[in-house]
Amino acid sequence: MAQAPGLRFFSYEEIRKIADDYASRYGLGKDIPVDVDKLVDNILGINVIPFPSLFRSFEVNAFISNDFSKIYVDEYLYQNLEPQYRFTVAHELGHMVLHSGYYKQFKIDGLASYVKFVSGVGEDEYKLIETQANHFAGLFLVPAAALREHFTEQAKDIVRFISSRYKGQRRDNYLGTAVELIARKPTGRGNPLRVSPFPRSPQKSRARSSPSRTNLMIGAATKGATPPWNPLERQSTGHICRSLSPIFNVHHQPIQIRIERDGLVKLIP
Amino acid sequence: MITKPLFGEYFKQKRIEKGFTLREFCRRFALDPGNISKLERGMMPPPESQEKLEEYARALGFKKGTDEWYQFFDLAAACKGVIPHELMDDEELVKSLPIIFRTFRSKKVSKKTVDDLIERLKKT
Repeated sequence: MAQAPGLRFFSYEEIRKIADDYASRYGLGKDIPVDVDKLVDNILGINVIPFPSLFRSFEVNAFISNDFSKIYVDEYLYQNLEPQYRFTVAHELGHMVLHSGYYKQFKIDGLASYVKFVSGVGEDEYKLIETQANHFAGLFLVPAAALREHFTEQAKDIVRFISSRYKGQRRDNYLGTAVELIARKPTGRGNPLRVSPFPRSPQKSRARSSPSRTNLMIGAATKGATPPWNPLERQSTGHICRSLSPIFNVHHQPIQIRIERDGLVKLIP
Repeated sequence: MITKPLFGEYFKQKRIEKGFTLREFCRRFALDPGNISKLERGMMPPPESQEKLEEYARALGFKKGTDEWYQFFDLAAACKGVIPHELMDDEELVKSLPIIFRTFRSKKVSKKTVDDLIERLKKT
């Protein structure tokens, strides 16, 4: 891969260490949901600014200014999509933590050098930068200890659920129906995507294609990381991710990535 | 030239002292976060309306008749009518551009896209 000097390749494990260190420096990571908004706005003093139709105009959910004093966020996302908002802010924070050194070496001193820089960033390089920031965001918002604790609890619940129905039967006999049952099992915490904290004007409330936006955010991070799970593990993990989503107040994908990476699937029966 | 956002700085400082992020603050008091952010960054002058100012003062937790209350209105009066004619200078605008920037449709970011973004940043 063609790489500009200064763009470091951070492995997932390296980013894990960086995100953990960063969180503990600010006393975060014990309580969930991790209050990334408070860290960025109140503690770091970064202005988080709603930007009307940022996504429609420039095809990005958010960006951090190159002097790290401002994070502009698509206004619709800022107002209506709480878990995505939190992920997006953590992603931009990730750019600040991981990529400030990379940016500084270009010594941008005006519009011309800026345009030269952004148009010179290659496709692969850009993808790598984005994946790194996504990993940072997921690791930062889903702390390992809290995930393990809640995952274990949910996995036990699934064991109870299965064993109460298939007492004394062989696993091969019930596997298929168990998978289906878990798929239909209510998570009991409502739909995490329907968080709408703001009073908003009627013209803003029309639906928007959020699935594709989410895929753009997370897609690169999950690619190639899924181990060959059996159907029960896959279905149970999906179920648990949906249950945990409101607890961590993030979309289920960052949770799923961490479950995979932390090898928690083995806790499923 | 940017008008030094004395009123805005004071506003932001007090909001943070109360433990609110801008987003929480605006949610709690049904205020527009875009406008309050501009106010805090000195991109918008304090409101002319006494009523609106009182609404802000109450949201920030000031009690009528206290020093804080008067200081808030004094600062607002001092900044009143000082409408910054250039909200951000060129240097500030370049600093406001994304650290990393890419559009999905066109592989390269063009000068025009950056110019468009700058125009929008002046008003955001």
